[in-house]
Amino acid sequence: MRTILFLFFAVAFFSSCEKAADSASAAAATATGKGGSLARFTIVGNYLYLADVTTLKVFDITNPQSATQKGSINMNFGVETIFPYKDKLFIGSIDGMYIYSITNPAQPVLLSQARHVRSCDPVVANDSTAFVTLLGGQPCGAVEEGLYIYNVSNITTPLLIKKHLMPTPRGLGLADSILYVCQKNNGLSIFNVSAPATPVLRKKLTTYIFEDVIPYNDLLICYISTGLVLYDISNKTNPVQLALINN
Amino acid sequence: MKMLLYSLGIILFVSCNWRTYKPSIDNRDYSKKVMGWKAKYAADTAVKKVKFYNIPRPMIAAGKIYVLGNTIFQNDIGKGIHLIDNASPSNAQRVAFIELGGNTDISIKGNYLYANNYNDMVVIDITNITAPVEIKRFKGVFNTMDTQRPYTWQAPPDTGFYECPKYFNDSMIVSWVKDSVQQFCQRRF
Repeated sequence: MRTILFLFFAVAFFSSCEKAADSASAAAATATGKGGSLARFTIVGNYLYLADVTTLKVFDITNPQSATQKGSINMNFGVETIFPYKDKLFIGSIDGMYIYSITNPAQPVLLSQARHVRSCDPVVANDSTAFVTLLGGQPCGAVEEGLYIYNVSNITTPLLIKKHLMPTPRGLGLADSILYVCQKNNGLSIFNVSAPATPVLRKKLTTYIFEDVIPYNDLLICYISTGLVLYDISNKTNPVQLALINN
Repeated sequence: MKMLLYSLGIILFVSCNWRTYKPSIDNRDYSKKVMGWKAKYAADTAVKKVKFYNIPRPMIAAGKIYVLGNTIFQNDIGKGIHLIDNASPSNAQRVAFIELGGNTDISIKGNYLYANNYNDMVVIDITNITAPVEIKRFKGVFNTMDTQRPYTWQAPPDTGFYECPKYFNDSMIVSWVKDSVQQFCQRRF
């Protein structure tokens, strides 16, 4: 009896493992990675979207060997970052945040824009909120530098709900209700944004010159001026340094 | 003669496509050379290509990041992509380098890496990460000049006057060197 039971479990265990491995490798073959908020192009499904300064270019990459450019949409001057979220693209430009629908992936449609003064401004977003950093100075423009938070529940009319002034904000990353904002020489600020209109600063790191971040499960991958630093963020508001890979 | 030179200057200037020119505040002497930047050109066939090094190399100018599975990719501005083995994050380290001139951005789906190589977009098959293969190239899709924040190859690395770029079908600017130049094109920021 014991032997039979053992055999049964062994077989069950083994076959389930095999199945998991199969689907894992299938997923790996089509998985898309994760970029930072400063990315100039991004992949969603079978399409690659490229923000080339004044135009949004669309590539069909269903079959990478025979990838083709599908279209090109004129935008305003100074487009430089692109952040995908579900069926939308959030595009940061020198004069505002643009939101495109990619429900029809080959033909992005402009849903709305939140214009602001000239600045450099990457965006991250979730279902209801978009977070934009506005960096001033040359060549970005004169601006009240800080974190600008928009309610995008009504996607066609983004509403500015908070302007949190802070110096030299750059790339940013969102992990559930925690927002990481790089501030170059001024470090990395960690906010709780569970109430988006009232971000609460929970922690500030000033160890490095922070440029951009990618929250990746329990890992915070940071682009710093000299390379890369990795933090364990199992506790999201208390990063623990794991590795520094610089120079 | 003076008139001719003057109009030639204007024509040259306009063709620079560099918006920061402000005649009202400028007192530049077009006849006089100053220390500035001169572009170095190389044939497309020499620089528009992918080369893989199975050894780590130092970071020159840290750039954007990308992550997929156990590998982190970090751009070295204008030079290529460092591969960082992140299987064990506390021991994460650079393990290889993809040389890709003019590179600033990376995106990956499955076994295919998309990256800019100067003004081209290349698709690189990384099924075997130690032997990446270029499978597709979109020529000239990064072609717009942002005068304030140009792509790395479009303007010198720092402020100052520079020799206005020439555009060729079969060669590219690959780097900038200090040299004595006329006061036409100028990077202000």
